[in-house]
Amino acid sequence: MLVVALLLPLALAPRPAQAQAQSQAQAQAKSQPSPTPGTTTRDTELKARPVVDAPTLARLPAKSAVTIVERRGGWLGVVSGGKRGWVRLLHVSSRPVGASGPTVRELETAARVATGRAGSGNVAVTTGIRGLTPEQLRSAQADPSALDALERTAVEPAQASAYAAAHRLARRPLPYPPAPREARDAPR
Amino acid sequence: MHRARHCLAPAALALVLAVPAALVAPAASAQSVRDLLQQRVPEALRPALALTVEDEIRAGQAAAANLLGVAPLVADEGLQRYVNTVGRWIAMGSERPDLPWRFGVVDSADVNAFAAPGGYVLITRGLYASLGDEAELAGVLGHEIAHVVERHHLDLMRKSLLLEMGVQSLQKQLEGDREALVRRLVGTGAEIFARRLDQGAEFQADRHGMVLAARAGYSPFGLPAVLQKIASVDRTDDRVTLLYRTHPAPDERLRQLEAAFGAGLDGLDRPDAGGKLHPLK
Ligand SMILES: [Zn+2]
Repeated sequence: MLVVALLLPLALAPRPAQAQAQSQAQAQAKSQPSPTPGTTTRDTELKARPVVDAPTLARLPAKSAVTIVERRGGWLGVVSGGKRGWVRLLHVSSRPVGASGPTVRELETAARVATGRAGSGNVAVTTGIRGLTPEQLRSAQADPSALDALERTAVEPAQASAYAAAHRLARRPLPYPPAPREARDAPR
Repeated sequence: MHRARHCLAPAALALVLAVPAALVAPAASAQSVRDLLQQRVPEALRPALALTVEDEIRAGQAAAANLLGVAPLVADEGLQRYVNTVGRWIAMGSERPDLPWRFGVVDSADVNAFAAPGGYVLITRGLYASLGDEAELAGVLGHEIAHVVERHHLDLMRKSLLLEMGVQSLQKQLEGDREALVRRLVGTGAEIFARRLDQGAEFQADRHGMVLAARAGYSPFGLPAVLQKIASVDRTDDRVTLLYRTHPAPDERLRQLEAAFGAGLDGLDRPDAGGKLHPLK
């Protein structure tokens, strides 16, 4: 439980002290990121509402700084130059908040405590505490029972279709777009 | 459908293996390499050089089992079944709906997801924990499903094996024990998941992942929303090291998506579609 509480904010990058409160609020507000700094990747418009034909509050040139406070579908709720509005999600990239996130060492300690491994003398089992390395992957040995477990929770098409029908997931025809030609040369 | 991509003529293989020679030679021989690569494989050699779907599935199974050896499944059947439900529904809208699709959440803080040939898709607890809604899960699974549909990792395995064994011994191998062949395809442990595909394959998996999520009825913007979150993590954090090693930087991926779709996805948002993310214990 504690592991999750501390790991959850990783991508949301808050301070460790916020982690617990955040995991409690998780159920209600999961799709809302905590404020994250972002940058516009191209010229774009700050809209009054998250729809194409909403009034334009401001024109934001490429590389404008924004603070991302919310996401709704393909739109991000942002604050820029003191104005609160909406920009297209694909026109914004985010960046690290800085050194305020929990350190890996803090996470490790917390995870050991949470799983009851602290003081057990067994420090061999550290899976799930830090990132995977190429060396770890190369030396991985097959877990013979793991495939059985994977089979046990498999879901057949009929069950998946029933879930989709119960959750308003309607199949839509949509072709794949071709690879863009200009993207490589796009200004940074 | 694209059989030629999967079975190269021995002569072409010999030239591929002799790349350094081809590189120092002038343009004329580069052209002939291309010609040879495009040649059709003689009918008699096809069965020997082609991998069957069964080979593909067995290779994927083995690679997945090895990965599970270092990052076991999270012990929560409800969670696993949930991810399988969402994943299966998305995969059913792909070009390979009939693969034995299997999905799993693995117990690692690493922020990552993996696709093994044949329909095996694993997402880490670290990445799952950062998801905000089911559309984001759909975007991540869509990216991995696209890798499987396009056989990106299978092609990487095949190319590696060719370079390692050479044409003659590979042909001998193909005529003999298929299980040994599958073992050699998979390589050492789960190393396939530490290898980098070419950037074009990753950008393609991003485009197709968004489309697959949208085809399944989700908002297509879950994947780029996840990429933005990953971009907000300090890249020296060791939980994103492997992801940066194997994939282009998230801001470049976002830029590519914008260039490919522009405003083409307007009107496809479905804020009410989908269920609730199964909570992590
Ligand atoms: Zn990928």
